[in-house]
Amino acid sequence: MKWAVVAPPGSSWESDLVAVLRDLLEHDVVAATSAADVETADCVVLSGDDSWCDAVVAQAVAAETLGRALVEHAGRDRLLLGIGAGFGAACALGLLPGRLVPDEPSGFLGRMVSLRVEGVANPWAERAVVGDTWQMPVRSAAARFVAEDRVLDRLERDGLILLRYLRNPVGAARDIAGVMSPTGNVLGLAVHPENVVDASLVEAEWPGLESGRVLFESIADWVDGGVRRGSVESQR
Amino acid sequence: MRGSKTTLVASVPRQMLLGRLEEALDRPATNAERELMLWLCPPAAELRRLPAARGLLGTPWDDVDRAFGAEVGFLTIGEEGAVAVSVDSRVHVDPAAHLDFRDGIAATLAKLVAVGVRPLALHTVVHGRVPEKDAERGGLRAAIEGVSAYARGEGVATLGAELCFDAEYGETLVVDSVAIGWCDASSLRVAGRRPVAGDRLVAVAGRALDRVRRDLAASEVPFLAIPTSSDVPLRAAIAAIGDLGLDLTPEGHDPAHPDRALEKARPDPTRSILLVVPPSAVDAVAHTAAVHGAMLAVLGTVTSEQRLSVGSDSSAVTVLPAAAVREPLEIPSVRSEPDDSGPGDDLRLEDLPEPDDYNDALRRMLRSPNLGSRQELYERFDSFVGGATMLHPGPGGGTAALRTPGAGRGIAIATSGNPRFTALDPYVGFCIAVCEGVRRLSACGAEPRALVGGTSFGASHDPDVRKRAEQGLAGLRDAALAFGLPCLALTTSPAGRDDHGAIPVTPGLAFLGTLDGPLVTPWFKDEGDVILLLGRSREEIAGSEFATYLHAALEGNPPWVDFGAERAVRSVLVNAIGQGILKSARNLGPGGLALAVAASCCATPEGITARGARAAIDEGMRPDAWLFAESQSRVLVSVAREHVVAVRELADDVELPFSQIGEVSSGVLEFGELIGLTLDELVDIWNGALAERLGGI
Repeated sequence: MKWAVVAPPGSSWESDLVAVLRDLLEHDVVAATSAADVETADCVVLSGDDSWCDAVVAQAVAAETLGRALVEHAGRDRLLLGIGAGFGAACALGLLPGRLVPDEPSGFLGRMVSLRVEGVANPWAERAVVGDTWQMPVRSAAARFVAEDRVLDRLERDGLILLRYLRNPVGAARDIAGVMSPTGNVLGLAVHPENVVDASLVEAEWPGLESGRVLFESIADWVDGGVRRGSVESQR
Repeated sequence: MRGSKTTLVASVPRQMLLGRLEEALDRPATNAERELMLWLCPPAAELRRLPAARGLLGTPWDDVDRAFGAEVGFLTIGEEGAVAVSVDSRVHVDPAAHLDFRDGIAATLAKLVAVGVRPLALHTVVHGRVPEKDAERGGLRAAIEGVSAYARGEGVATLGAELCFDAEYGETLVVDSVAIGWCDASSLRVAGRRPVAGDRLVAVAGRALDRVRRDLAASEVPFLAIPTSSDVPLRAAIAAIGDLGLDLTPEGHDPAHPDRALEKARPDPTRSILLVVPPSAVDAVAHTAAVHGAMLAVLGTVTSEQRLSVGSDSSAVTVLPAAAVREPLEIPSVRSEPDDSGPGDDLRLEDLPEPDDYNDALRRMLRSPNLGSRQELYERFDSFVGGATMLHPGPGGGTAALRTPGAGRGIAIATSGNPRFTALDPYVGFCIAVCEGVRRLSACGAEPRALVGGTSFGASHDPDVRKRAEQGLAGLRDAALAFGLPCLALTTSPAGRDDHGAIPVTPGLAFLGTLDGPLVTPWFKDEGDVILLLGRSREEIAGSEFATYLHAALEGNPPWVDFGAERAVRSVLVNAIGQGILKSARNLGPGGLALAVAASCCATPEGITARGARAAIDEGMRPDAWLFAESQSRVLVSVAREHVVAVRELADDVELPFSQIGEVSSGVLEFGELIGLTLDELVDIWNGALAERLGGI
């Protein structure tokens, strides 16, 4: 399983992801700086640095080689995960429907939230059961997912909503915290799974909490098992 | 209390500085020389080294090292490495300066970066009055957002952002910040390259300064890194070059205003470090800075002459003897003057009317801006970034913990410092601050190892103000020694203007502890668990939130301090935690027993059910004192019923008073027949109090 973590220059956040994937999950991971890094990865992660919130940045990335590589990677049905503001970047790149906008109420919010798993027949939550409660932190001033009603209806109808807030702290449309692309290979998460992988770290507050590990290991299972989108369709 | 002076500098150090300058020159100084001297050595900044602070820091400790005066400290932890801390303390006298909060935060982080330590966490304490005007509220919110964004941008977890309100501050805000980092034993060295004549002085500014420094070290570029501070420009650099001198000739020099030219030349002083490098390495530094998007400016050259020249390449405009600038002043002590004021009149309980309705009294106390939940405030900061946070400050009741890289050692951090007690008696107030910090750490299972922090005070020209500050520092020293706690880093901060009025001598202290066993959390866990109060309760109400907030009674003597009782409390906690029988433990601090019980009910992490409690009223005391007095040396714990005897035996062993006061329940908080609030109402008030007073956070 090979991961590529993409972050804007000067970002401080991708190191958390790299550390989790490399040190805790013992996967092969590279901090992507070139199209080649993306092309060889099984799953690309757009990290949640606030810098991604700037649409100009996202557009600039799209115009660069690395940005094109991301679009091509997703176009080949390879896995791409946008976390936090990286979710917004994936929307800005046209890889996911809708967009992320400033929270309501406004301002940065850093809080653990409870989420309901809405679908498991996908690369992202195979190890979960529909209705499971996951906990992951929101860490952004712009984690509010919005889209037109018809888009939201389609997401509901096609089973492309992965996670919903149990108590929606940011005003996201239809309580959506995680949404997939129509082909299921791109996931945007308004929450941060990398902070809930090491159960020993969060044990004092949330005993047994490993929601992030469930997500990352589901992805690894999917890749290692060679499962592809066709089987997703058959499982729905 | 406002003075009539409008001088923008502190009188005593100003006179001392100019005297030192003329002594070094051996002639009267010119206006340009005086201007430059005072720019390089702001008189208010000199007061950061009060004699009592030097005494506190002078105590030898085998496992402590310091750098840059005492604003960075290291505490060796086992064989693995060291915790590094830096500290900054500022008094903002102008409400418009709220937006300058970032300045102190940046300086705190830069100090760690300069010694090669990547900051992991930040802790900030703000003392001020409850904002009364829209502009104040807006300013505070803007400051919170600004600091939050800055720390997030640096990838540093904010493990605490306390607000402590007292009307005595007027429009002044006191901001203390502490940064925490970790360095492996292999990289534990402060010294860098020794400067030589011809070296260049280079300022590097921007995000990711730690990466710039790391890459320079990896590429074996020879350098000495020096932290900068916007309030002490270039002073650290001048001290670092030792017996050499500096020729400061920044590009864009204005011969008429050399200080302004230097100010302009420093790119973003709030997030910069200074590097002393050989001329051949300047290009490599510039390249590394560019890789990380940092700005760079060459400020000058190290010379072999012991003087500081500021001017153009062709003609020096102003020359100062380096010796006049290098060393901080030795501010004379004012504590030698006898304090014959004696203890003040105490505040007696019978002076205060007993509440008619205790439910209403508890509701009002919960709505005090000093007592309600800080969760909404903490959530404005990122305590997750860095991926090392073990305990977040909200559920931790203000205590947080992180895991260090590498060996994964747990480090707990707690704060304390109640200005109401220091206003009543600075010496005792600081002792209480240390006792409370030790209890907070002990309650979570940490071994207290060190303290760090700042001391702020008001008008620095007033000997009585400085005397009270020194009394406070003496209390800090004595209490630290009583617990064997080294002071890793300390700064004392006066108001920057002589016309500034009185503010309480303010302890902004943080305490560090190591976690080698289980981490104990403060919220109630299971129905039926037994609630125990360890320690002696007295009718001590002076300085309490009950007296000041509910009764506007500001006088009296602070609570009794008993280091022996504190050690007994710690002993019981250590042994009970070691036996694995404590389900929760919480320090009793502001608000007393009632607030500790209420917080243990309400302050649970996301997804964890809040619990109720049924507690008794001690019939030997007036109920309001039992509920709200702030006697020291007390903690609240909960245990499974079968472990009550074990805790009692531990308490008996050290002769610590023990009370079984109730049990954890569901749905309601009760204190005897006097208080009965539903848990829903309790949680609503608890969570909404601060935002309600601030008009949103």
